[in-house]
Amino acid sequence: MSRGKKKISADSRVSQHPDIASRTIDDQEVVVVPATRKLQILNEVATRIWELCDGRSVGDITDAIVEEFDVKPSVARRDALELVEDMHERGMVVIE
Amino acid sequence: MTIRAGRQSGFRILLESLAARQETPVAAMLQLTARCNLRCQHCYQVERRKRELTTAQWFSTLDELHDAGVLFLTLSGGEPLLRPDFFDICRRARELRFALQLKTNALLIDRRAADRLASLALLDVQMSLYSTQSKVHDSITGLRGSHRRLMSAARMLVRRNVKVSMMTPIMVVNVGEIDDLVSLADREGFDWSMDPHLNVCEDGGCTPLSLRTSDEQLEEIFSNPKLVDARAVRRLARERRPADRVCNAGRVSCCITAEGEVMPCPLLQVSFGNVLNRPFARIWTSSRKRARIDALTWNDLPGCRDCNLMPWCVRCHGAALIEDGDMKGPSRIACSAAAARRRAVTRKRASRG
Ligand code: SF4
Repeated sequence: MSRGKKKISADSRVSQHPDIASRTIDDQEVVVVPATRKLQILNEVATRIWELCDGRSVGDITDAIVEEFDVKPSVARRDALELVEDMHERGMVVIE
Repeated sequence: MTIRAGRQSGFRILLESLAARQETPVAAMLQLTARCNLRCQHCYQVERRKRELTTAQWFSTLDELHDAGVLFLTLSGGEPLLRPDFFDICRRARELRFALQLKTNALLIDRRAADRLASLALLDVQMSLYSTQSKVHDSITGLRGSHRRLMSAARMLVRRNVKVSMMTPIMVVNVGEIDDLVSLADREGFDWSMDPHLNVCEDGGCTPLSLRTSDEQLEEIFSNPKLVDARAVRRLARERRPADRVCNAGRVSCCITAEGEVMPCPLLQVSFGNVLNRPFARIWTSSRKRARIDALTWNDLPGCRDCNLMPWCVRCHGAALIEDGDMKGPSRIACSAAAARRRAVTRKRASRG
């Protein structure tokens, strides 16, 4: 079930969808979206971004990623935004 | 179990790889109670009167399963909704972010229960549908009105966007209505699958074998393209190797009984330990019985390793143990099914010329 494209900016606040099921297996996050019955296995960076989806803004998530990983701020901003959009389309997160 | 071979294999391989990475299962069936409010003729479970785990004991078991990396839970019974704390256990499981499935006979699902189930973000609610005709269905369950109540509960759930998965164990009384069952499921918005193997009772004694389909009927089932993807069955048969493990019992998934026994699956009556005595993860990693069952390949089954039906065989250690007395021996029910499956696929090829 696609949530469709929603305009997401650095100020958008992101939280994990309350319906999802998830588990950390071997340091990777495994996420199940009950509405679609789809399972996603997140890589290291996606797992960290997922953990940071606790109501903070996309901008704050980007700052944390720049801090923790060896990545340029412009690249981190683009990647974080794309990933959050993708997670939203898959029903994994809610955006305020 | 569905016999639509191949459909789920990608997902199954994924789960196998996850379980291998953490060395504990990713899925568990919790038999919340052994009590049931139906007396289905073909049921494999024996109603036990032993003490069931309390709410607090199930809560701490859920914590342990969570810590061990279990993600998928099937809440089952008996009839799980008979427990007054059923929704407390569900809520606790959702707080721990388990992906939940429910197996129920639906008798206790009224509007309020349907609303509560809809709020749990379940993957699906699984029910057994024995026939499109209430008379036939009710004769199997032993309760007049059970078909009407099942259909009404299922419709309430569909209206609340809860996925309903109907499963039909194929028996002599319903083998003639497979097409009608498929149409009914389509019309009502249910998922539908079937199990052509009617299992023996846990204690080996009470299965009405007279309900089992004949070899000819099994062959008809395996020849039905709506039910069986013959190409996938042939591919699986080609890929089968004697060194392959026989099943996922004791590796990818497990079952915890109402009394807390940790078993490989609901059918294989072998306990690895009880969650009341030791934490789940310790039971799993230290049980020698579990390691032996996990490691079983076709090569370890003396009557099966050289069998020419082995590539076509969907064999269950549990059924072999209960019905034929030896977990590692040939299983009569699997033998007839394997022969029918091979005949059906061979006939298909011949008729295509
Ligand atoms: S269970 Fe029967 S059909 Fe299956 S491999 Fe063993 S002997 Fe052959």
